[in-house]
Amino acid sequence: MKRRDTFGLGTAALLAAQFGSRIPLASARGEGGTFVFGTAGDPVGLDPAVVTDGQSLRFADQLFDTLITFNGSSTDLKPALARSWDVTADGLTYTMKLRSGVRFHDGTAFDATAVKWNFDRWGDTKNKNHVGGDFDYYTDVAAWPDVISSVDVVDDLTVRFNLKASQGPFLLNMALGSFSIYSPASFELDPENAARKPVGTGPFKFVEWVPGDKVVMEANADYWGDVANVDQVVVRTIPDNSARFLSLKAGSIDMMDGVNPDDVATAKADRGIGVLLRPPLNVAYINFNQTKKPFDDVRVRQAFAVGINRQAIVDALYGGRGVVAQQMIPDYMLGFNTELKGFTYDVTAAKKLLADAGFPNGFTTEFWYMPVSRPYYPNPKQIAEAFAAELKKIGITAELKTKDWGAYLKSGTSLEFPVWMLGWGGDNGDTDNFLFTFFGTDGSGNSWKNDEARKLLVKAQQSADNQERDTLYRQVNALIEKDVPRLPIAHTKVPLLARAYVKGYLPSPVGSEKFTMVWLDK
Amino acid sequence: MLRFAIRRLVETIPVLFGVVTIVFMFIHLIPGDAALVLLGERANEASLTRVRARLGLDQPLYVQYRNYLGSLARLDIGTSVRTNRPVLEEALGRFPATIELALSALVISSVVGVTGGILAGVGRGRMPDHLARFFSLLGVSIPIFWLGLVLIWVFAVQLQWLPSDGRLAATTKYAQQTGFVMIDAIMQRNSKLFFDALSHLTLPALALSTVPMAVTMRMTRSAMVEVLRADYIRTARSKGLMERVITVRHAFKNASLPVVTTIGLQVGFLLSGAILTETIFSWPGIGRWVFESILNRDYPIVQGMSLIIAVIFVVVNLVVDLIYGALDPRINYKSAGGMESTMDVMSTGRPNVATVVRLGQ
Repeated sequence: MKRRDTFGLGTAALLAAQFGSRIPLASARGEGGTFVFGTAGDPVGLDPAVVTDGQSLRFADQLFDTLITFNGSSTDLKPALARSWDVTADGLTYTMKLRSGVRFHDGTAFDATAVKWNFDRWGDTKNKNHVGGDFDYYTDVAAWPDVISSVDVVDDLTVRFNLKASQGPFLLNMALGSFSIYSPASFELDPENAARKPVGTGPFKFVEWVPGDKVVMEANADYWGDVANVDQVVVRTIPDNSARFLSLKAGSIDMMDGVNPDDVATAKADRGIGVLLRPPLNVAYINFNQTKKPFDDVRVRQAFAVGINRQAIVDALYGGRGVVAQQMIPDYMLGFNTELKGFTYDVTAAKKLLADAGFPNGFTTEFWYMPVSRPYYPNPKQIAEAFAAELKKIGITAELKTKDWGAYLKSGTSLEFPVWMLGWGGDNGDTDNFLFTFFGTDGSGNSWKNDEARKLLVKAQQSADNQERDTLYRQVNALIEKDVPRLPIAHTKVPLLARAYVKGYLPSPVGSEKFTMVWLDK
Repeated sequence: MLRFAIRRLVETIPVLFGVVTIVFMFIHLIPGDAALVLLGERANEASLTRVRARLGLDQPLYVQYRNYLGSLARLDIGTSVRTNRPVLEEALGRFPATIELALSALVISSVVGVTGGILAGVGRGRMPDHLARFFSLLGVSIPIFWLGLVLIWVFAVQLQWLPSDGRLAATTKYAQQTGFVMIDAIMQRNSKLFFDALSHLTLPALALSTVPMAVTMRMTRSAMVEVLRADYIRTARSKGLMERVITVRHAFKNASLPVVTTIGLQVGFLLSGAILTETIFSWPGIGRWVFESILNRDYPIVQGMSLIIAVIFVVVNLVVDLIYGALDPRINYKSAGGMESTMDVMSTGRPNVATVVRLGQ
């Protein structure tokens, strides 16, 4: 089968329209200038292969290219450094034609050898360039050690991937920022500083990084694609959310992420500032420890599901940017089961379920909430208090507890909590990245030992046929609704704020936003 | 004096060893390890095992401790687990910002604090005293993060007189020489750069100076009140000396010992980084960096920086002790027993110095 141009999950730019903002997309090219983006923290490093945090991966989108990329404000795919690709019917061989005439920022040519060099660096633990950190995306997120057996250079501009096992989200994974193509020549010249002086083919060139302060990039005038509208981009580290908002108001930055929920309303009232929303690609949930009583009883879990008024909580505490999660994935994703009814709020039903489970008078449980705010739980403590108030109505006393984030994660993964709050932000927009992560294996806080679901998840992971995968994931979602191993609470649209003169910024569900189209209407 | 200094430095070795050991134990005893924080929600058994092995966290604690002491003996304070960069190199990149901010805050707090304290002491019970006491109470009571945000809101957002964040404007480029922007600007005769840096420094330095200013003012005031009651001041007055001469030459010089001690302590605190000020004003110094490293369980940074900060305190205390000699002729360092004096040094009001990083700045 031959695929060109865009394909994917059919989300398209609909989302951009649906969740869009007051800020129009680019309609004319601006006059250059410097675009200053304020964010909470420094990148950990600028070598995309060894980082996992959003602060670092933001730079992969500007300084580098991947072989395939996401199309604008969606998780659809389009060609990037690869012009086109062929897949054999068994899904085991991908042949990619590469774009010609592309050069790295150091002037060396991009070709099939460079692609092979990068894949060998990431995947071969004995390779001398397999240095700089952990290759978590290669190993865990894409799980490529179990998938890719070798990469061959067919000719200068053709590369072939030989797979051990077919993988449904293989091409989606290819679009992740971690799989950016680094210049082999520059890397080998100074491997120690690969994370400090990144060299890619991207629309921006690296200029400088002042730790704790800023990273500066300039437009790459020789870029193979659309050349950036602005001359320069400065990503400024402003750790405090309120201080960053004041900096935006003062005009010392043009745009920011990491917005305090309360500041969105203030920003909306300010004519000089616009609010942009990223389409939701996350889920907040309550996790039940089924190895412990009383949560080993499905009726208790179901009582939580119908006894908590999720709509009221989302309405009250998500500042208008949340939607109630009916399933563990957002409704536009592959495998969302439209035939399922979801959970309807019903206190009487919840009480009956508890009585049937042997708790006519309810019970008391520890209920753990996160010490840090995440996009999916913007204010975990308040939300936990609301959960506790709801549970009280059905006779359950929730003793709210929290601890330091590192310790919290540890207790969650090792199933020390009876019931706790957590969530997930998607990496690549694929359902596998949600459901397999939650329920595919033991560990990671999963106490749902459902063999049928696990078989379906593995089968869907290995299939390259989206129709088949959709059917399989629908079945998994039906099993989840029946067993309630985790209770989905909300999907959140993550807000970004920008000065009104910032145009052309396209919020992406995976947070992978290129600054190329941004222009300043000053 | 030299022998005294050397002796004092040798005596600090067990102190530093204690700091290294206690910090090592504490940071490793906090639940949750670096691997978990690095991986976040993504942590699973396989990835945790892999990352722990790379960071050496799979070794027993005593082996990790032994390895750490071994690398310290080689003068290697470690490599960040998050960024894979040497701690010392990262620290050196951030120290100039912290020193620049600390010294500015120190100048403001000392000048205003000492002047205010003298005026209050001299005019005890009258208006200058009431004002000084009011402002010093205000200085120690206002939360820095609140004051910082108010300063930004007034001077950056509303009046637009001063910038709100960072050391320089986002677009400013310059060739770094010493890392101290103001000094570089003077060396390069670049007035635009100088005023850019100065305008960025003003608000954070003001915010940071409030607490030390208040403390210095209170200390100066009480020392002055005490000294002005002394017999020799009455004698000086009865001899008909001018009040200004009495205040500055006779009273303040004798009142200055506890003030020097207080300022010395402030130097230590300020140089160890001001977490809140650096956070609110996006100042790229070491305070915020160490704080974030604690949250990230970046053990080498926390351990290495605790050691460096302990050394700073030790050196500052030594310098303060040496200044005593210059200020008070009764104190001399010549005898074999170290510092010896005809008066009890502790009774001069020198607080007991502890190597504590004060989080409240």
